[in-house]
Amino acid sequence: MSDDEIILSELSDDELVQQMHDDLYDGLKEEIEEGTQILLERGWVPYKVLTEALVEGMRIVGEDFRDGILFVPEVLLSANAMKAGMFILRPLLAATGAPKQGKMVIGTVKGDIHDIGKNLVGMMMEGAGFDVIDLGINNAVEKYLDAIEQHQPDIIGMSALLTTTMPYMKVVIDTMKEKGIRDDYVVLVGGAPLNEEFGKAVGADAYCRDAAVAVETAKDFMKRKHNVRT
Amino acid sequence: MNEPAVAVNEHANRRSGGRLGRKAIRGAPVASFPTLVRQIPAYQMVPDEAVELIHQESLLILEEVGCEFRDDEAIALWKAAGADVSETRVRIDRALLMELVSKVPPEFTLNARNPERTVRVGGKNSIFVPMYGAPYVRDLDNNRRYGSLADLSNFHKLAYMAPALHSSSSVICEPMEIAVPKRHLHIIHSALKHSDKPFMGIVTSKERAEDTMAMAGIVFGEEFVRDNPVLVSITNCNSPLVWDATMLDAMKVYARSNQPLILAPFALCGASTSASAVGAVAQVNAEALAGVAFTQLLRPGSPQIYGQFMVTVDMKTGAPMGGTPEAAQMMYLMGALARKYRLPWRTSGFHVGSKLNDAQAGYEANMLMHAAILAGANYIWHSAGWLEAGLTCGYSKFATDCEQLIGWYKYAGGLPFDDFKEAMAAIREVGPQGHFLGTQHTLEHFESAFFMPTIMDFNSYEQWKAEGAKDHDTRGREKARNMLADYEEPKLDEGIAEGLKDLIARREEKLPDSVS
Repeated sequence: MSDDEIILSELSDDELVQQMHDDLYDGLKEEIEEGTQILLERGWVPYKVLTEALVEGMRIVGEDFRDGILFVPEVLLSANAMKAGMFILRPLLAATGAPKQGKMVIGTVKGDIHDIGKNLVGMMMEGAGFDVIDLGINNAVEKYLDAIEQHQPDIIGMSALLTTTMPYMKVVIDTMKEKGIRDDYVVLVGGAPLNEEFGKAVGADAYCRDAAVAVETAKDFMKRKHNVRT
Repeated sequence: MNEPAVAVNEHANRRSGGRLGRKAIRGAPVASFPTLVRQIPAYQMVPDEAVELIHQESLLILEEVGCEFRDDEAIALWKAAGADVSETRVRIDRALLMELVSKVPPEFTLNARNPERTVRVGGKNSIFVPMYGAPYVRDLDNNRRYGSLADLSNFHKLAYMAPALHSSSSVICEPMEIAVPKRHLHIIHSALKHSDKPFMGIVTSKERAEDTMAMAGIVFGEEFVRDNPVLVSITNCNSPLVWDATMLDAMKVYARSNQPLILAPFALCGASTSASAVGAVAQVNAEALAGVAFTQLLRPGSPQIYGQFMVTVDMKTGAPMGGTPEAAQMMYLMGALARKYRLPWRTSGFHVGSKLNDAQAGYEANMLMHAAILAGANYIWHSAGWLEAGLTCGYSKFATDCEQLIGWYKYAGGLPFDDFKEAMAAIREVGPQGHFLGTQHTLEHFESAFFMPTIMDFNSYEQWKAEGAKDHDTRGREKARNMLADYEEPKLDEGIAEGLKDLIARREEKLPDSVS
């Protein structure tokens, strides 16, 4: 196969970026690491590597996931490759003061230990270039508040599978309101028994029906945030 | 050291061409499935003694009451064989009957014009075949109207594209605009042109059966079709206990060329049989065995399919029903009898009474197909399209049935244990908490591990709503429409295509435009 002959360092910049889109699509972690390094060595600024090679590649992945061409296990593999590239870029992006994709604190609320959906969202968010701080399961309001203080995220994500635990989302949001910090953050909620009305009722900014929608919604809110700033 | 070289190689092969590569793989038509080789046991619903009891009663029916064979040549053949004949009534003693039945091979190969679509019928081998004979269609716009040649061509195209269908049938719907005396030519031509799977013959007259054989001869070679099965034809006993001249004529043409017949009484249980499921089976078994035995007078050793079409009648109206529990139970009895006689056997799978591709259709279809599969049927007919007791072929139902057949193919194919060790390794890899969506085992197996239907919808409520909140019937029509848009005709040798056209032209010159 001609694929055997692909040597990333011999490709032109355009070809390499194209190949990285393909390699992200195919979920190839080592190849993405290599491609990221090569672009940096060629003098690309980290932000350009991030947006043109990685984020654009994951945009294609997200589109085909939405259209039913790619399946969940494949998208996780792509997200994992993206994360590896981000691992190289993150310190460089911070050092160069590049615009941030965004940071998210995510967790399953108190009383609930279900986390497959939450994990999926976390991985997909990382795949889209976000910093994700995963609080795990069974999180009381204090955990969220501590994490907010420590990490200063842009987005708080809360998840629940049980009808008996989902009302706890309101406890977290109400506490944020009491502390006067609610409007400093975007709050996204999700989980099988939730819906849009519930999201509004508890005071969240949006309900996300699945991981792909969560990423799109998060990106959308980040765009608006940047517009406000500029 | 070899190891790094191997690693590099594996590395390179992991590249699958990104988006274009994946789209090509996922967008490619699914190849047709080979014959379903059943890997699950057949279920016997009654004890052996009950099967034997029914068998004995069937023998008594043929010895004491006898069966009508309304054709001079058939009567002469029975006389010569030593049966007790009085005018058209034939009483067959058990020794003669069972000797003739025992000549039928337990399995046979059914050749397709594309050898890759050739299938095996009998024993553990089963095939799915779309419906037959609907005057009406429920079309892509959800209107019920008479079928046309364009509809029939569409159904042949869909049958060709459906991976789990093993045959194109023939008259899936009637091309009602074509004069009856000429219709059969266009039905067979459409089946041969639009699909390369096995097909079914015409049985409505001797002449039409001969035309079918002539057309098959052009495609497969005249010599070949004299001895090798290339088509299956249905002959129905008119219950109770009548084999009429039309059916017997068709039998003579096909059996003498070694082309298998389905010997299947069309029984409306309660009207053309007694109002008893076991009583109906004893009668239908007698009728089917008489038909099977007669084929062996025509050509000993010719492959045949023992069978039944048995639905109960609705005592409120006299109308045939579809997926009822008794219809399912009778299948199990017929399956047990077929295995006793070592005969390939036919039943139907999705022959529902519902007018629409709705909840009733789904329940009926499931009741029937589950029984057909567990009863071990070999020729599972009416497996796509059937609505309204066979009066209508629905596009949505056809597409739905084709998708469900993929599930039933998998179900009957048994549980694979070949990746069991890897699955156990994945448990150790993940441990408590966490998930399996990213394990190597999942990545290697997710595409084949579970049924992945596209018409059935398992999206979130919001996603489903965003896509138009469509019901199953609507999604089925859309699927059929999309499939037809992607259809590409299978190759047919130019000489053969011309030969078929010539034959049709020649026959049409001679055949009248009306049945009078």
